[in-house]
Amino acid sequence: MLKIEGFSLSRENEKFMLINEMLIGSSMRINIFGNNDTGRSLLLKSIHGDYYNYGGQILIKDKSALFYKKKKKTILIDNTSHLLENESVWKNIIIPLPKVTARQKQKIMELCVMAQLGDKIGLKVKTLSSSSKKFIEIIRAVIQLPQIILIDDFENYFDDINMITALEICNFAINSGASIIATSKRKLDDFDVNYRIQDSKVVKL
Amino acid sequence: MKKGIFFQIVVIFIILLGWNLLHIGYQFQKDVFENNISDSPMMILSMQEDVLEQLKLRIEKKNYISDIIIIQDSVIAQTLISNYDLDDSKETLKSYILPTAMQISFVGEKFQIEQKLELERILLEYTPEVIHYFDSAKWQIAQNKISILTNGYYWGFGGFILFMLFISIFFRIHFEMKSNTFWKIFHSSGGHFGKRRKQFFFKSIHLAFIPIILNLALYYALKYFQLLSVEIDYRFFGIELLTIVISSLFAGLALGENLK
Repeated sequence: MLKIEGFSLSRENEKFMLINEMLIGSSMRINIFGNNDTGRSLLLKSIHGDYYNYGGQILIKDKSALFYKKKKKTILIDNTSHLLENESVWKNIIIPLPKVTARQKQKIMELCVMAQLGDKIGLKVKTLSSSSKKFIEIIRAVIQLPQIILIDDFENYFDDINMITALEICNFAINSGASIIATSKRKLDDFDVNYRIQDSKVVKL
Repeated sequence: MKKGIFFQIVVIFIILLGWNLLHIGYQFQKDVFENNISDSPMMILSMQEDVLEQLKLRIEKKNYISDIIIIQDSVIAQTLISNYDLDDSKETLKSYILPTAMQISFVGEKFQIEQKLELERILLEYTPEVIHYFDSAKWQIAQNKISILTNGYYWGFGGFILFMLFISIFFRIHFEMKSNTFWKIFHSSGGHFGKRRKQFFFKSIHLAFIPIILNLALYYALKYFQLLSVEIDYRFFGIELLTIVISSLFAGLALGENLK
């Protein structure tokens, strides 16, 4: 589904991230970990089609990121909050949905209960913790069943228990064929494949 | 966002209401001045009734003439006798040869300077057989008032177009810019690109038609209950609609990239 070939990121003529080849199929959980300033966020932005200043090519279902410029098949959850603080949890989850079907409604409620947001569905987002806010973004991404969900700095928002819950929530999309690519500073458990960024190269473990 | 569109609909409705009131007020006042002209007939006197008949045949088809009545000399004598209680002088009065009179009533709306000159030219051809009496001063005063009123109306009309354009473009841009955060989150959370443009289009349809339909409904309700005597031309509502549509187009152009 996702094919990255000869990928490189440069800063002042110096290449700081190289991927010779990365193939990611459907229904996979991928973790890319490495230190700060190794280009993890830019890699995710490049896959999402928000950043074009890279070498090599990124293909999703054999089509370049440019093809998906206006019809994105990926959802990026980055470090900044993409929530309407004065709106309810429910409103924030259904923002991108053209129409909420009964099945989606039921699934959202199930996922909210898993994330311990079941009794907070009507609360304003500004009253919630940052991990709850991230859960909302993950539920919102998962319910849309995109091809790839990209999560930057996954371990930043969750402790170990919440991390397991977050992955369980992601399973809903994974079971429908979506893949998860999460970056982190340390190696995360419960992922199908782990990549480490070392000496500017992305190495499969 | 829903509050925003509702507010804009209310504002546009109120402006249109003001615009329609300007139009109704103008029409109403113009009718009053034109009725003043209609209420002042021209009297033509002639000793030869056949000349008046010829004149009547010549002018009765003119669109600015509403009615022509020929009053026989005997009727005039009778009227004088009854009006001034001259029963004792009946025989004396009968011995006089009285002229025949012709009363011309005008369509106030159409009897303007060109028409008046045309009629005077025609009457000149029949001089000295006919003598005419017309309150030109009253007619001139009414014409001047209509002229001032019309100028004021055109200024008001233009002012309303500019005001409507300014207000609706300003509010459109204001509320769209206000919703930028929402759309940023909408797109970053996976929402469809192009939905904002689509929604802008649908909002434009609502803004253009709902206030106009409400104004039309109000107008026809007043007409139905016979509370309004003034007619409003359909084209007037067309101009209002066009103004709102143009404001949406300008707002769309001004917003440009924001509508992506």
